[in-house]
Amino acid sequence: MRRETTYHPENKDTTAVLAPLRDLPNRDLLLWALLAGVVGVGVLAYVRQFILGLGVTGMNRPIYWGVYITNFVFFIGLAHSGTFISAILRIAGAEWRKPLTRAAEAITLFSLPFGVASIVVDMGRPDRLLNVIIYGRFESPLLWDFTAVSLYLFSSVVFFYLSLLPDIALCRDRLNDVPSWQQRMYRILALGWKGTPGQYHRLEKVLDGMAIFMTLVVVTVHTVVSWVFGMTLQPGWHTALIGPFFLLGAIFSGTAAVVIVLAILRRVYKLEEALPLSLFNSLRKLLIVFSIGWLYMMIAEHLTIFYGNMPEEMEVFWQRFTGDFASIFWLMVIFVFFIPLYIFLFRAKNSIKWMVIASILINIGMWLERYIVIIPTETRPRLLYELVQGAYTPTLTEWIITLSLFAGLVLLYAIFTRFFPIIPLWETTETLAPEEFQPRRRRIFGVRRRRKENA
Amino acid sequence: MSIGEWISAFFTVSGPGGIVVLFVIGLAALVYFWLTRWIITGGEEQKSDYDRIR
Repeated sequence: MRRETTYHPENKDTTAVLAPLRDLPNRDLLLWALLAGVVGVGVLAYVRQFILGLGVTGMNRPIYWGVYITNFVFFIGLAHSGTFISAILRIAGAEWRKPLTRAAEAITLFSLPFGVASIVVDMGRPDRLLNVIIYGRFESPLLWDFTAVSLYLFSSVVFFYLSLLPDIALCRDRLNDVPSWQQRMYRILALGWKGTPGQYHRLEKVLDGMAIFMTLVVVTVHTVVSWVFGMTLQPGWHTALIGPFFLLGAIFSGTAAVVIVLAILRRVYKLEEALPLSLFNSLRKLLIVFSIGWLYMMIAEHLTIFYGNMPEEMEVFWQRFTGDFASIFWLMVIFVFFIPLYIFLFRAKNSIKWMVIASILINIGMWLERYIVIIPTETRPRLLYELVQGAYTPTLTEWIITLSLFAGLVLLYAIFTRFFPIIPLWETTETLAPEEFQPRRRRIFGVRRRRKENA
Repeated sequence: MSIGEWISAFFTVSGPGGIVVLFVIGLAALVYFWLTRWIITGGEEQKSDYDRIR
């Protein structure tokens, strides 16, 4: 057995959290194979689309953005969960968030690449992607988007990795019964972490600083994503509210996604003690606030349009409320607001099952919301709405590729949870009270102090 | 060219935008690399708890 030379704060949940890393049951391999199969079918569908062109999709004139761009906005929104829970709540000093930070950050990390992939899939000529850089002009919101999303993805990877560092070192030191390649992986990724007070002190400092930076980036990212729509003069998109509305929706769906993921992890990996019910109750309160905030934004936006009564805006407005998209619109309102709010207020207290049901509905509803924001406007474009009335029905190719993107996200997440602790052990250690988790040697290295006192 | 024309050219001419993107990402890479190194070298002068006890 390798001699441990690193200091690791004691945590009563260490054994339970490390247990999934020691074992890889056939059930998991089967799930991975199934998900990889779905991803493979999606790749084939994409290759077919690449060869035959975007004609195999339901997109047409004047609907240039369809399900793929809906996915892009949805994935980027989902990615906000990690930053919200980890960075924003870190700044706010909400200590209850600690056990769920990594699960949320992992959603960020694995959603973002699929958001970017959605853009590539939407391009008829993906080989021209680099033109954004080669011929980049800051007049274009697309370049703002490219800059913000790239920086966000990069920063998220670093933020995630740094907070994982002490736990990778823990895996390196404690997981002696895993395959040698896995041990080597921990050894390389741990970067020689020793757990000295100086390292913990600096790590906390950097994470605190990055939390502020990440908060700024997350606001920028989703605002800029919304500006891809908002900076055009299209009805339904050209509103100053679109930035905050997108941001709130993103954090809303992201937080709901965290609930789903936590419930699954808790059950599958038997982490009932590490992920107590109180966590879900805290998230429930947040989700109640978000759902009410979402309704406020919804009313503010549509009431302003309704009172303005501009003909081209009203075309899109009625498309949503009573027109071709009415069924999707009202389904969205019911899924995002009415049913979840009812569940959160009257059913979900101390009930993970109800929390998960509400969260699934919220995420379905938020995907529909993205669809409702994008498509109706395109069917009734400004200036042309009297001449052109577009229609859009996604094709099987689009659905298959969409499904494969979601399968890819779940696959990466599932693989990650089998190789890295999904609960931050060093941050949730019970031997150190949160306010004491400072680099004061008398706290972390109590042994040294006692020796000194004895002397 | 006046300063106004320079600023206008920055936004309207193809190319400078891409350089800014590369600069932002490159700068972030440098800063993150430096921060990671700074964290890892933290307390190199101090021995770990295990070593001290030993």
